[in-house]
Amino acid sequence: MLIDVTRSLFIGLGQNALIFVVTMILALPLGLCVTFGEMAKFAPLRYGMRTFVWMIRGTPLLLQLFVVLYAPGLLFDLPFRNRILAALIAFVINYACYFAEIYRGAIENIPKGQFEAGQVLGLSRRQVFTHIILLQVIKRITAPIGNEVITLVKDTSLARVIAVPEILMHATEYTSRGLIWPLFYCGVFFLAATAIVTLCFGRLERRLTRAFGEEPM
Amino acid sequence: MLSVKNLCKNFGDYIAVDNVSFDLADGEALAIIGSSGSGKTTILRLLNQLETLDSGKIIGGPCGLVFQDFNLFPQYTVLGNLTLAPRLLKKPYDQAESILDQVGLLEKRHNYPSQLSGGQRQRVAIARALMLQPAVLCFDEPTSALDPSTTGEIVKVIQALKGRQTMIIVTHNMDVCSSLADRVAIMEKGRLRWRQKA
Ligand SMILES: Nc1ncnc2c1ncn2[C@@H]1O[C@H](COP(=O)(O)OP(=O)(O)OP(=O)(O)O)[C@@H](O)[C@H]1O
Ligand SMILES: [Mg+2]
Repeated sequence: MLIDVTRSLFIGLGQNALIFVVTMILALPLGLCVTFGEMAKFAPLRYGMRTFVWMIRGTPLLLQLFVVLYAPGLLFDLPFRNRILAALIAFVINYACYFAEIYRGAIENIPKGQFEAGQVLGLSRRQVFTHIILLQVIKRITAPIGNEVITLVKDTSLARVIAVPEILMHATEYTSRGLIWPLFYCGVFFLAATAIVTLCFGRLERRLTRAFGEEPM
Repeated sequence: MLSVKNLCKNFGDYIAVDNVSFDLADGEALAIIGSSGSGKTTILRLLNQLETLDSGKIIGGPCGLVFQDFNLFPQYTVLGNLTLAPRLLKKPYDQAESILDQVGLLEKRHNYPSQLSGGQRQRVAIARALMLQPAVLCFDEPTSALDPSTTGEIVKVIQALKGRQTMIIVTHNMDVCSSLADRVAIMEKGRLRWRQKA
């Protein structure tokens, strides 16, 4: 029985892992694009992007999953058949916006003098960003991004509301047959995943601290 | 040689720099003193193109700037701070070690800014500005972030440049003024007045 349940949960976990990995790979860079949009000199782009981010951050991811799944069908008569794809789109957009806010906060908090010191030395805006600002931004964002990523681990189970067969969905199938413990067993999988993420980000933070010649705490 | 003609800069309707003109001969050191808010930093920022001028002309350059609060790059070592810009600009940078030696920081070349004292950071900032061989090197209150004993350290470094490097030094410190400057100008509400050196 235990082996049966474990196997079933692992199959579900595959879907969570897929959502997690794809969201990380796409949303981290996409978030930077959103940040550049939010900080653009061109006002319509800036305001458009900020409004979009506000809408995404101001509504539940749960709702966004439904919107991505149903909106194409309602608006263009093109129903979404691929549920996992719908989930991936919703997750990537949602997390890109959260990441973007973290990036923007970090960039805006870099002292103005860092940009100016680069400029006075004759570097271009791009050189200043890639060689001076970027690593400082990365150092500042690791902790908040780490928090977001832990939330992502847990959020992946939201995909079941649009019938993506992720781990919790597998577990609740047992529940409907009167077996409760697989549901609690799920928690172990999430704990293991968040532990790994926490460890990875902890290491990254220590490495960055060393890269700035500071004493690790 | 630097020639500044009728420099003006407003922030909104506030006149920060009001029709400032001066010439600087090669190797000359000019000190600018004046009360807070009189526009000293703004002049240096105009010379270094950190602000756009409303009117006037700047002939000569390029300038370099040593910031009041150093603005070293925290992720680079001392040596990295010096060589970053010349490397990216495909200019020579093998003079870095001799410049560090000049400011007395050769043995700290592999340290990070976070591992240096205030005076050492300021010396790195000066060395970094010297790397690109600016025609005019500007200092914005080079000693105001330092305690009096460290001030002497920086004065010595700047003194060693005297005669070889054209300089503009904004300062509140009269000792810095008298020991470093060939000429002293007083900034007052955006205008520049000359003071004969005693
Ligand atoms: N970016 C800006 N926007 C608006 N006003 C500014 C700006 N920069 C400077 N000012 C104003 O211009 C005036 C001159 O400023 P500046 O920094 O040049 O003074 P300062 O002589 O360097 O003073 P301090 O001795 O305190 O450093 C000040 O009144 C300041 O408020
Ligand atoms: Mg000033």
